[in-house]
Amino acid sequence: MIAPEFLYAVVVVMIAAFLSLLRVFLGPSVPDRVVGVDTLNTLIVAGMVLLGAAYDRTIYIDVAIVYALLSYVGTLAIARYLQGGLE
Amino acid sequence: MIPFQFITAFLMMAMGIYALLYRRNLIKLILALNIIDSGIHLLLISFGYRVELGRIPTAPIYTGYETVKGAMVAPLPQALTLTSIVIGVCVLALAMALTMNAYRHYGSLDVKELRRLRG
Repeated sequence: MIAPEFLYAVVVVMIAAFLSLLRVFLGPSVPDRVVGVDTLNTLIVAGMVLLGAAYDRTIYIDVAIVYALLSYVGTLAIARYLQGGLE
Repeated sequence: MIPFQFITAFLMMAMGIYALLYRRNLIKLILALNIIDSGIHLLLISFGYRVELGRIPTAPIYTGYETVKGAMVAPLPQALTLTSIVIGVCVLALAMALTMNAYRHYGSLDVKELRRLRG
């Protein structure tokens, strides 16, 4: 069965993710929302690693690695667009 | 009692259809198509979920399966969804290219503006 300590850690990560989602919804400016999405990406990577440990499958960790790489690229693309360097 | 995944999937499809009907920006229409796509994917994947008492549902991959012994979920909807994701990305890329060309020709992304004949 699922070990309870991993489950509680995932619940804590989920609460933090909801808080950063609140920043995405309420953020007054666009960079605020981008920072919220970036925080959310990092928290999701942490949650994926924790769930991989909780379900006792090592294959789930690979998904977290790929997601960390792709979320970095996405944030970089939005930041470059906001800076006005896409011409 | 309908499972909440199905409710979320149908809600996503309904929101996408609503945006397709009532939005006028071309890029928002493409986003609405993608949201409908995602709703259908969620529906397909959640059809394959499997609940057995005392056994944790796990991915249908045999690497490292000996230590878990969980109930494998159905692999067929996952294959269908993988194919559907590829088709969705193809449609997205083609629609984005057509939208860029439309903006170059008309100078606007409004659907009502694009409806006018020109030249």
